[in-house]
Amino acid sequence: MTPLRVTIEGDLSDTLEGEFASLAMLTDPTGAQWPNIPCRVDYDAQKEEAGGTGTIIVKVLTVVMRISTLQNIIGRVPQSGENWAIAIPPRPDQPAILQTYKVGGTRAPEVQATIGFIRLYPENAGQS
Amino acid sequence: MMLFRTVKQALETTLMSNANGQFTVEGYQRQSHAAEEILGTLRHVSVFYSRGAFDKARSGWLSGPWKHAMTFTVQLELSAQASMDLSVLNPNVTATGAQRMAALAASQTAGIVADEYWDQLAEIVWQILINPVNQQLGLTPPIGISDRWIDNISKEHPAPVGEYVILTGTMDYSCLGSETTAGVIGTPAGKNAIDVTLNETADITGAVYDPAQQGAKSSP
Repeated sequence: MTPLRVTIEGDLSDTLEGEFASLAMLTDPTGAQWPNIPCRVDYDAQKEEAGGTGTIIVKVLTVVMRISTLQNIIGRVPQSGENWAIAIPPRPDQPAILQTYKVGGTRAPEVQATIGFIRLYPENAGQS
Repeated sequence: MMLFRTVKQALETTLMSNANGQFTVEGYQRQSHAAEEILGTLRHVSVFYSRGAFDKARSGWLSGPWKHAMTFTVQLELSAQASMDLSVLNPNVTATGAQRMAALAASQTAGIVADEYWDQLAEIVWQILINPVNQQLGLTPPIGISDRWIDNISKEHPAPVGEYVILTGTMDYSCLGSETTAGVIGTPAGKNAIDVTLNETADITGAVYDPAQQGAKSSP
């Protein structure tokens, strides 16, 4: 009998890379670019933060990628403390437009190794 | 109006007139706002009266003036985004791997940018409030304050919330002023405060009254 976690990892081809997937382009710390990486982008999450004059609403953009896909394409996954860039569609209805975000910034990537996916938290980036 | 309310307005006016596009002065926000609204030079500064102290030894003075040691909290809040050379890292841009690697290595996280921006904002606000030119916050005699001071500055940790990092903090501005009381002004009586006419013709003892002599009307 196939272990449940193996089954779940296999299902990631549907849940992360199926018909709702977006295509991202990663730039690794060496400057190499890796286009057309399937992923799931959660656009609609937001968080409330207590500010000085009231509550501040911040969009929480989360990109979830299958580790085995990253291993196949890049040969590695983003690690905490590394500087990566990711280009994803800023809106799900405009897949052809890509916006560049910083990955591995203030919030480190979270690797869910036992199930087989990694969460990236892109930071909005301005021109330096 | 008590002096502390006048001073609060004067603080806001002083900050607004010296902001020069480096920050915005806001009052209390009834509605939550988006992180983009306080991004970069849109960072917010707001002033709240936070506490006051009166010397009780002067409580025997019936009409004052009484010394009011007032403290205002100046709130500083901002959001920041990461900083990197997008002219190299954007898709469909001609750049070498070495250029992209250098751009990534030189990129700054939003947390670092927020920290730098907040320190810069604290410096600007401190310089405005401590500037001798603003010692009286634009108040003119006989209204005035003395011993104005920034007692402390406090900064929170950059919060890695989502696309942006939020950073807030406060600055305590204290000063002395004199409060007086004008007394409570009551409502003046009308010309006919009492306007009742009794219409007694007799009581149980059998005494007879003239209704025309009864009742009372207030004198003007």
